[in-house]
Amino acid sequence: MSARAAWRTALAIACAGIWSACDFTRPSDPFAAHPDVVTVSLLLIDGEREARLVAVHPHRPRSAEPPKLTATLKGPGWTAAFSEELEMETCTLAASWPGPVRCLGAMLPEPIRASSAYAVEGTAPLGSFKGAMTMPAAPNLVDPGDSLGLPAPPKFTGLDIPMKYSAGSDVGTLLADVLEAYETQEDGTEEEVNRFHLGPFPQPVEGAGADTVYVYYQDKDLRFELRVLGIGWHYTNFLAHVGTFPTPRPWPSFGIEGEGVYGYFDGLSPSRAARIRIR
Amino acid sequence: MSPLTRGFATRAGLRVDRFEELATTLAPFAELSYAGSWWDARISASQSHQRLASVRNEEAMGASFIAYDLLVPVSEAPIPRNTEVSIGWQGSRGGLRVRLDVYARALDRLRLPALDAKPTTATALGDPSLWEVASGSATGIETSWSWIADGGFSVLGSYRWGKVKRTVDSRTYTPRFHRDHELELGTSYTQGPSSWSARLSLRSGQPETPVLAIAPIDPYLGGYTENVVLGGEYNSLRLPHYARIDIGWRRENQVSWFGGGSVVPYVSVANLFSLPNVVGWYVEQDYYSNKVERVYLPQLPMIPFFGVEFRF
Repeated sequence: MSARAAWRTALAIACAGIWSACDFTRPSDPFAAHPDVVTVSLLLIDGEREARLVAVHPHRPRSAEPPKLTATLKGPGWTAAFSEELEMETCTLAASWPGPVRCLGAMLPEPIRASSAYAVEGTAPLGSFKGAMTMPAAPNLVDPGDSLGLPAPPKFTGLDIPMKYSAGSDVGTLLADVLEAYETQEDGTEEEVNRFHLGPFPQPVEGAGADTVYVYYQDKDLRFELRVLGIGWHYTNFLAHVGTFPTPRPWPSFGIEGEGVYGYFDGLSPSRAARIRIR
Repeated sequence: MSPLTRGFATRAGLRVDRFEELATTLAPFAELSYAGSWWDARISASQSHQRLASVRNEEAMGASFIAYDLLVPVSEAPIPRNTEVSIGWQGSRGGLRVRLDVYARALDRLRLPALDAKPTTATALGDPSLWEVASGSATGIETSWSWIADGGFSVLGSYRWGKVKRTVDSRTYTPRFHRDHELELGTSYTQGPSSWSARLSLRSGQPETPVLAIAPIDPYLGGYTENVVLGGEYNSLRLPHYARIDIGWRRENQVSWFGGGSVVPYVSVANLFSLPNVVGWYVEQDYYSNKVERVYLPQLPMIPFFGVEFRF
């Protein structure tokens, strides 16, 4: 073979390679996870007399049948079955879950108590599951005190509200939350507004004991209550692994273990509320 | 070396190493061999020490995109140690030469990065001073062969099977750069000043972690969901296999420049067909259809090289 012919052949092969490089990526594979897997989100709230559980088949289309599972909550000297099917809005504000979802409720003989131990057990399509956790102690909201008045900022802006708080080592996640928010109308009457009107609440705050929360201000005087929510480490551990790459075993404790059942079991304890007025 | 009965021989030795300010180590070595008419065989046991650690032992997926095999010194005792037993055979007839080795290694006092909760997304090229004392093992078979024919044609190749483990703290795993099977086949043809070469590489996939569930969570109770991808045993499955074909051509021309030398123009193409070999994947979920896919992260596509060498 002459040098010229060799050169031409090499160029032809290189061009063929370059052309094939245009379609380089390996096609995605459909994900073949077990369709009967159930995920459970169970967050007990200090002071409430109802426990709510969100169960999802995350590997099935949303149009499929929601999970069928039985679950029982055990408190200090009592048990309560998750026997009541509730509207989704009762369980969670999230409108879109990755699969068919069911909201189950259990009426309790007494309110959930901070620092008390609770257990859950049940069965799901692939087997049984169980879990245990101790409710975190309520965080202490140090500042603001019972009430705080703030001058209104320019319209359609916002302002930072300084907060001081403390929480025990059993709290993994601290959130600032707004509730019972009202705007004063031009005729002097008050109209309740959604907390999202004031910003993305609940919002995480620093665990070091002080932070500020930013509150949107439209053009009307505001009053609302501000508090701190403390959530335990099971939820915190679970949240820490949000992402698109797998978290291999051994996992940190999520509060639930079982055959084909994954998720978290934890508690939420709110601090006292401070009344805030902006005008 | 001491002669035994006809064809047999033994070798033995002891090496003493003084690693300044760290340790003094002994490295024994013993071998029994037999030489036949066209083949020979040996069995050996040895121990060696090396004051080095390889950065390539990182488990981060980012390490797969960086071509490196950096070695860093071990600054504190103990010194990494390799204890090995191997059996080998090789023979040659005509233009054909074949070699086979079987080995088992115990690796002690290695320096490896601690496995994070999610090793795949750890930082590559981390600080080696933070690495932990670890251990490992390797067993396997390695074969290689070559055939050189008259007329400028030659073939050479190798096949390797291995099983490799590393243990850091209490976690034992297959390291991410290990492939269970590796077959390399190369051929070249020389005619006059031109030579052609081609190489085929077939390997089993790198380790991957199986997924047990894609579990939703409502972060900070904000009214939307994100996913936690819960995996099983770390690196217990394998990615799709690796395949690659490289080709090359070069021509040597004698020139009289600068007192005489050679000019060699060459063309080579790595991964000729742009085979989409992958180093990992991530989970992608379509918000509207809820369809979940594994999206692969590919290695390099086809890369052409053109050049001229001038030697004088």
